[in-house]
Amino acid sequence: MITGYDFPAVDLEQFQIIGIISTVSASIYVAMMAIYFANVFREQTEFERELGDLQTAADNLRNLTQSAQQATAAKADFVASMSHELRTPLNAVIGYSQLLLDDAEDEGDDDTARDVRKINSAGAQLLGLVDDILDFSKIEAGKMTVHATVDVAADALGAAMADLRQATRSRGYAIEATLPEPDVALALDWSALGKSLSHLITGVTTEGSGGVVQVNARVTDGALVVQVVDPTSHGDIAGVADLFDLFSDASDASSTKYGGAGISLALAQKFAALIDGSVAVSIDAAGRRLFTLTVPAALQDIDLRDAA
Amino acid sequence: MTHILIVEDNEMNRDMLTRRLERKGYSVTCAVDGPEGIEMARVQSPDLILMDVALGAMDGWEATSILQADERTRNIPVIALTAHALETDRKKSIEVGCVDFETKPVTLNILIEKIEKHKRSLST
Repeated sequence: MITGYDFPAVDLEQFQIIGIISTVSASIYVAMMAIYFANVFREQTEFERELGDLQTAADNLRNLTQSAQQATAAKADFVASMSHELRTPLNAVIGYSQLLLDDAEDEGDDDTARDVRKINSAGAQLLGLVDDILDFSKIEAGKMTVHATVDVAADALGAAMADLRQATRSRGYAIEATLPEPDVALALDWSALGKSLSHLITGVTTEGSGGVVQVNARVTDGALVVQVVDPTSHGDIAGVADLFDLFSDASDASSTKYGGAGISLALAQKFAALIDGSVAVSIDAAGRRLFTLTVPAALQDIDLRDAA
Repeated sequence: MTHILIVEDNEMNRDMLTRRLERKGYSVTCAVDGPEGIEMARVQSPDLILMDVALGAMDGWEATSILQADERTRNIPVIALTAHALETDRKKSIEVGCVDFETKPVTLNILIEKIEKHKRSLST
C-alpha cells in the first residue's frame, strides 16, 4: 500500500540505545520520587510525633502547675490552721507568765520578776513570728485580698503610730511622726499599708539599741510616701540591698548584723507590693538607714467622703 | 466596786483575764458565748463589758449590736477584744457600737486605762 516512498535506512541499534536510556531515566525518576515521598512521609511522621511530644509536655506542665498551685494553697491552709493551734498555747504562756509577773512585782520580788519577764517577752516574740509566717503564707498563696477605702490620711496613720509607739516602747524606742494635713483624704487599702509600715518599724526597732525613730508621711504626685529613719548607725551600705530578701540573711555573714529583722522587712516589702507600692532603702552620711515606703493613692474629695 | 462582764469562749483567756482584773480590785463575771453574754448583761447590768469578737456561732460584734439595740443594755460600754490588730477590726468594732478596741494578749495597764476611761460611773 505504500508506494513511492523510500524509507531511510534505520540503524536498529540506535533505537535500542534510546530505549535503554529512557527506561533507565524513568526508573531513576521513579526511584527518586519514591525516595522523595518516603522522605516527606518520614518527616511528616516525625513532625507528628514531635507535635505529640509537645502536647504531652504541655499537658505535663499544666498538671505540674496545677499541682504546684494546689500545693501552695494546701501549704497556706496548713500554716493557717497551724498558726491557730500555736497561738492558743502561746497565749497561755504569755498570759500566765504575766500573772506570775504581776505577783512578783506586787511582792517586790525583783529576781523572779526579771526571769518571768524573759519568759513573757520570749512568748510575745514567738507569737509575733507566728503572725508573720501566717501573713507571709497568705500573701504567697494569693489569699490576701486588697480592699481600698477612703480615709483621712492623718487619722489612719495616727492610729497606726499609736499602736507602734506602744509596741516599740519596751524595746527603748520612741516614734516622732510628721503626718499629712488633716484635710488630706486618700483611697487606699489602709490595712495593708498599716501592716507594711508596722513590719517596717518592727524591722527597724528589733536590732538596734533604742532611740527616736523619725517617721515623715507626705502625699505627692498621686502617692503616699512614708519615710522612716532608723536612729541606729549601721556604718556602710554593705548588705543593705539584701535586707528585704527573706532568705538572704540566714546564710551569710550579715545575719549577725541584721539579726531577726529579716522577716519583718521582707514582709514590709510584700505588703507594699500587694498595693502596688514598694519600700526602698538608702544610707545617709551619718550611716543611718532611710527607708522609703511609697504607695500609689488617689486624693479624694473630703466632702464626698462625708456625704458617703 | 466596778463590775466587769467578760464574754470570752476560751477557758484559759477567761481565767487569766478574770484573775488579773480581780487582783486590781474589779468584780468580774464571765459568759462563755454571745447569747449568755447578752442574758447576763440584761440581768446583771455590769459597768462595762469586755467582748471577745471571735466567739463562734454569734460573734462579739453581733452580740454588741444586739446589746446596742436593747433599751436595757444600750448604755453599757463595750470594749472589743480581738486577736489581730487590724484596722478593719477596729472600724467594725466602732461601727457596731463598741467604745474601744484592744488586741489579745492584753497589756493589763493599757486595758485598765481604757476600762477606767469608759466605765459607767454608777451601777444601777
